[in-house]
Amino acid sequence: MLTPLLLSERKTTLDDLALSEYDHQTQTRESVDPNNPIPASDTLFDGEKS
Amino acid sequence: MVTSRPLSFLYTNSYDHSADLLVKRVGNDRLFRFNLDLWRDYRVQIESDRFFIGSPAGRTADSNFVIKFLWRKPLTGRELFPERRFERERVYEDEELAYAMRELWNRMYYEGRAILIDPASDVLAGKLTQSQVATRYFAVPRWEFVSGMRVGAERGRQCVVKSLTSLRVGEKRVLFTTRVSEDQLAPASPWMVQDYVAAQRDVTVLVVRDALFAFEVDRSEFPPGVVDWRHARTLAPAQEWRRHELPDSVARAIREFMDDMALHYGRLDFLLSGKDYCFLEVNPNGEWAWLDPQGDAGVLEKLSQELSPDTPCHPLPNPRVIKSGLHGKVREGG
Repeated sequence: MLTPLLLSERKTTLDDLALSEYDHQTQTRESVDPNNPIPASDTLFDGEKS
Repeated sequence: MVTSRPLSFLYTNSYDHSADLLVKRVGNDRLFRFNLDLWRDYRVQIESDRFFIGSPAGRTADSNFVIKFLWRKPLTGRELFPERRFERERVYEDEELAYAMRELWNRMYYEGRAILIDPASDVLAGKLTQSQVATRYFAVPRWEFVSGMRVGAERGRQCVVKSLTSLRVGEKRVLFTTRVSEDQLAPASPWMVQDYVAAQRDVTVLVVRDALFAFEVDRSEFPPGVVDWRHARTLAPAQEWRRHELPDSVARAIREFMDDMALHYGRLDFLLSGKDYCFLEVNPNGEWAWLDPQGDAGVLEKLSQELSPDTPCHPLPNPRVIKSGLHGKVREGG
């Protein structure tokens, strides 16, 4: 019989993204550098806690 | 530096790329962004009649100058990184801060300054209630939620299972909407089951108060057997979402549905089967940036206009009157 875990699939997470601490901290605290945007990531899509 | 001109408050997390787009469009000097996961970098003072929040960039949001307040995706570190371990004291502090900020939103709501997104929407009227209301306007696939028993009585019926919470099932694992035969499902688990709809296209409609933006994706581009576009894009090159022309009658129905749900914002998902728009759900805090990353479709411009402190404020409805159609049902039925 199938359970939720057996039916589940791997999801890309923030931990999977190659965002360096520098990239993140310098770009997202308040302002955004339009010449160096954050890579499109799963935060764009509806996932958990959406 | 104390900001002494009107500004809008954007409450979110530091990984929110959609918020980045809004900040860029509206302007750093017109928005105050509070990233819940980085709350330690801010100074927060909330009093009975006023609040002050200082940012790491040295700016201050004074409640007297906050014209609008948008709740977007305020997530704590534990919510952003569910696979990581966090010390109890840190979790406690995160939650204390989040509680106080939720109260700040409440104050903004009651003062008529909260716009577009109501974080209580999913609690007041979640997916099951939405489906009930939607039957007044759209075809809605038959659904049932079961636990501790077998699903339905039709052996071999093709259906899909979907998650109500979208929480993780295992490490880095989620339950996408998945096509199954209902007699395969373990009776001990809770299941949200819906009839399978053979559809050619997924249609998603973003509602930003008085504006509708519709997009579609062709299901023939999905890998075989996959029915969830979020799953499809993890398995194959990202499918392209294109603009979709909504029939006037469907656009009108969406506006009436949103009014019944007391929502100013939401992303509605449909399956297009022939000419029938089958309602799946509305996400009252749905994402949008992947639909219009360059702003060509007008979504970014519309959201920026709504958020800008230089345009009129259209506060969320107070009280929230959700026309569920269920009032008096027991008396009538009994």
